[in-house]
Amino acid sequence: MRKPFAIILLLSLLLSSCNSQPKTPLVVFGAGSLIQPFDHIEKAFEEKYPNIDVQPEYHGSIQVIRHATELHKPIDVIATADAALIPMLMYATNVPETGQPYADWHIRFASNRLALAYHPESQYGNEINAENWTEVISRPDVKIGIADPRFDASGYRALMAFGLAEIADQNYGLFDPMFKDQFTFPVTIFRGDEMTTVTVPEILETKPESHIVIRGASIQLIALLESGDLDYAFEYESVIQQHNLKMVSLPAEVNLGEQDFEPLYQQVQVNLDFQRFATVKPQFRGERIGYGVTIPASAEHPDEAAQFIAFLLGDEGRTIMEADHHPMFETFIADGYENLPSVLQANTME
Amino acid sequence: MKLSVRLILSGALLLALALTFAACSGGTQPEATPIAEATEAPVVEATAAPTEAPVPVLEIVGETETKSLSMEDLKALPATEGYAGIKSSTGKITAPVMVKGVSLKDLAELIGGMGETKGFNVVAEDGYSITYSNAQIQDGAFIAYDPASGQELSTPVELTAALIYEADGKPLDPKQDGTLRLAIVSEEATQVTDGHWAVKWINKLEVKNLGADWVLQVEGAISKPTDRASVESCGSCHGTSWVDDKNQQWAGVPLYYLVGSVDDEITHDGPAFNRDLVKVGYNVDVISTDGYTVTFDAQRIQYNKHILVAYKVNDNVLPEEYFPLRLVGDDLDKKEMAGMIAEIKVGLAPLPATAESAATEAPAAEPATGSLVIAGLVNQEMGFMEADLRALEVLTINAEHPKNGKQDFDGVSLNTLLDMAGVKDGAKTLFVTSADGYTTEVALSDVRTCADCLLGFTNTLEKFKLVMPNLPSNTWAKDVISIEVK
Repeated sequence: MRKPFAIILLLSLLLSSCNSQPKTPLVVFGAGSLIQPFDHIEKAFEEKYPNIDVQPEYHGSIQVIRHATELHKPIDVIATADAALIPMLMYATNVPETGQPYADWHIRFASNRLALAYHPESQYGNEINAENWTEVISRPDVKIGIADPRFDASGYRALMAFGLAEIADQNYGLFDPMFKDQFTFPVTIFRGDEMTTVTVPEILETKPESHIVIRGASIQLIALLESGDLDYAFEYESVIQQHNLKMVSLPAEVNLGEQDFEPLYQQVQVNLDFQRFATVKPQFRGERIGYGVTIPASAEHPDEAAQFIAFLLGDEGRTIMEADHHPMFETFIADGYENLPSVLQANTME
Repeated sequence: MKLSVRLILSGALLLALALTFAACSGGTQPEATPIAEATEAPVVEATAAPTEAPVPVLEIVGETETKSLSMEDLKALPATEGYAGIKSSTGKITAPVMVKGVSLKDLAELIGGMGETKGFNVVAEDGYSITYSNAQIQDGAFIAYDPASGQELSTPVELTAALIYEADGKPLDPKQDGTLRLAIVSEEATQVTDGHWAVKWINKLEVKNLGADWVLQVEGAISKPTDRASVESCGSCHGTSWVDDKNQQWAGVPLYYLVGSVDDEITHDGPAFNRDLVKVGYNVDVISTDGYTVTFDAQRIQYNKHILVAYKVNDNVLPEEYFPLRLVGDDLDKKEMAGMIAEIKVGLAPLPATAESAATEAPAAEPATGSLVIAGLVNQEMGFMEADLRALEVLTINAEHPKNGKQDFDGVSLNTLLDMAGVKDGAKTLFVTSADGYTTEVALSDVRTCADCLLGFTNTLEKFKLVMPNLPSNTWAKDVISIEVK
């Protein structure tokens, strides 16, 4: 008789103790290039707020937003590698239940630089540098990886890099050796008087003999680099350093990471040559890389989401991000400042 | 017996503890867009898909017809069954489950199949869409990954893109997936494919022509809607190009060719551009879709290859800001380089319908003029300026000159010119006259069997010479001004 009683007592105690501390799930969707720092932020944040369980998921930035606006996932925090995607795809799309936009504010919180990742066995790895990179990676026997520009910001930024290199060098013959005849339907460049436009076709399909490899997200290219299936891949500097890969730092005119070159960056754009979304025809304008973060209007835990973003923007978040080689902005500029949760207004500027 | 009781009690205690801790654990990890969710979501039982009511669940929009299909219709089509799973863009795997549906290939057949330059634009209820290429629809050209390791498969697996209505033996979860979704299916559960192909809530498939078409309205004495294929075909023979200051090559046809196609009843054959009308004078308006108009005096565009209507730049269709056509060329100011051209209006009175129809016989009465004239036993006397000739296919040959040995020659096939004029039955010789009065005769049969015989260009504009390989030197006439067919 004693033993069954003891067991029941023990179970009751266990149940009552765990029921007293239910964790709030906080669903965070982020760009693939944030995987490592956000994993570290998740740990630190959960240590500080043990009642919150951060549940991260990572995709190409366009896909991140799609999960909220088109697949209607209950997401609490969205962090993209291109802040401009948030107004483009979230301000302009309404939550079906409320008729309100998915977001009416965002904060630019971090930057990065575009670079080329490679490995010790990469073809011509001993001769590539910041001056000859366009020529080396355009060689037919070099396998070069680019994220799909239809899904991932680093993909359209890689296309911008070639447009910028042409403008910077005043050499209008850099794009074609790399991209011409590589796709079933061509990726084209048009050099207008004030704007260079790269156009991505509706179907982005490499030809069998192509030297270009396209994958849905830049983070997928890392595995192909590590296995030797690629010689080079366009990646962010932070990701290259996190994975201990070799790196060609691209010139400031091209890497999309320097404030001083913003006017130059704005001379290129990438158009997707089709109506991919119901309301928006994506057109990505060159600018200094800015990561954006927001809380979707459909978030189930907006207070905890604001806590998470405040942590990210605070000293602890900055320390973690920078330890993972991911540069944060000195000041955080908010778009739609008046709509920010009050806890975040203190961390940001209009 | 005591041992058994203890074991049972201990087991019960462990089970209870395990259940307790399971109940304590936090929320479940959200999945990307897993196909497997359809089999797990509790709403499946509560809201079964509308399998019985003949409500259309899918619209297929072809180029000439549209079909609406109910779930019953779909299930009556040959079923594609197999396994499908996904890999998210950051590597998260949702294991393959058994799915059932109809292949895109079979659905394409319903509206008459699909050519290589076409695709299926798959549209979801909320307007999201993505286009599948012909290679994906017909051959299952997708990248596949090992479901266990996530690594790309080195050995190809046969894949089929299918519109599925069942997963794991149950209808799809209407909330998670909609009534229909896309899956990339294989016979065995040995692959997963990129998650972005697994579009949900599909309600429409549109056949999409991936080469954009357009029509240019050209109006003058006659009216002639001209489509992309016609202009590009014209360009293949009479095309010219211009290179801008950023080394971009614009390809198109000289504006006067398009004007010549409507300035009188002769739309193409012979000297379509009517110089006599130019002497009288008229204007040509080139009009963009937004109404912007550039006006030319006909004199300015006459035989002018430096004013062209471009349809390609660097071998690609024009960018959106200029598509489909743009005026470019060295003889244009920047402000005259109008894009998005939709219409060309030639300021000539429309020909009466009767005159237009009777015109094919009339023009022979008018003597031809030009730097070179072909006359005599021909259906239509023809006159050519050098620009006309250079707009034809220009051949370069290396031939043995009877006196000067081997040389390269540029010119237009003599037989092409004779064909354009139309040699009448009974003709036997060509009587050739030069500007200095020199004349020579050559048998028509010798010319007809001479593929390399040319009306050759010289270093002097509007001066031509005959290039007659393997024929006597007297037939190599210089400064030729007329060829009379006798």
